[in-house]
Amino acid sequence: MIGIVVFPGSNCEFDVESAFRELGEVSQFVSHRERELGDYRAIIIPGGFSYGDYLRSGAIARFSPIMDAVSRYADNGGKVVGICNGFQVLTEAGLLPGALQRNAGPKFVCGEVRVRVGTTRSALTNLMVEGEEFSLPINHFEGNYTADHATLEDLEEHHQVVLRYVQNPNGSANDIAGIRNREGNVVGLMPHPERAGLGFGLPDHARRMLGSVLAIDSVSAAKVAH
Amino acid sequence: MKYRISVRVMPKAGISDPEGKAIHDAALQLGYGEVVQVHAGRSFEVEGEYDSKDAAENGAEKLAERLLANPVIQTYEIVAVEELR
Repeated sequence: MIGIVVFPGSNCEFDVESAFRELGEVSQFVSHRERELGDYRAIIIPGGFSYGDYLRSGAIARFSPIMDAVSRYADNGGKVVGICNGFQVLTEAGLLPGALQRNAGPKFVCGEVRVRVGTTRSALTNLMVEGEEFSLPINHFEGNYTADHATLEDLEEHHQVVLRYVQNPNGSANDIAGIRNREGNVVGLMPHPERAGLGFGLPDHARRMLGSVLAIDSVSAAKVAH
Repeated sequence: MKYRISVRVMPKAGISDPEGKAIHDAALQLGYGEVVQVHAGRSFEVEGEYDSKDAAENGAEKLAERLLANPVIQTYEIVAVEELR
């Protein structure tokens, strides 16, 4: 079973739930008010506008009670994937480095973009092929990945860029669309794999991507990624 | 005692500022050719009960560091601390 964290203002939890249902995996919604996490194969932090994106995207959600439990879960090797607003929450919480600021565009971006797999050593890409390209939906205003020079070098050196845009839609440093932590069990990305296929069925690459989350058990995720 | 602390949060030097750039572009379009650069930030007024002015300043600083600013991309500054009567 997958745990999907729901904050006030989350709005992609049903997309995530239905995508995993397609893969035969049941989900449970977990309220932002909870202080403990049950036994899940992985935790997904879905897209949306948690707490109205007030202050900064993800800035208030990161202090909600559930996030302490999510941090502990990640520290123990549990798989945590943040999609879009979920990625913003994970960077604000310090579970992933850097920050997501307003698009350089300057516009809200909505559509399909080509992305390339940067590493298969992550909870989200272990069933993918390094270098393979495919399209995923994006839908965001603050997806411009930003970090200082040292952090970017560190990410590259440790192969932590999970997904890169083929054509950068938002000004992200190093064309970053998604990153992982050093261990590989925590991943954040701006594109929405759960929404690929527009409800007509997940395309193969999205199945493998979300399938990657289910492919290894939580405890060994960190080990396998190394 | 009650204090009002003004906190200003700005983009960190060297970090791109897409909002400031968009405002600058608009200023140029309006004919304000003398404008060379715009940086967009936010300002907060925090009102709270503190024992002293120093405590108010320290308290606001902690709040800014943890919540009001994201130190990865922003800096903050305590602009003013005033006692409210």
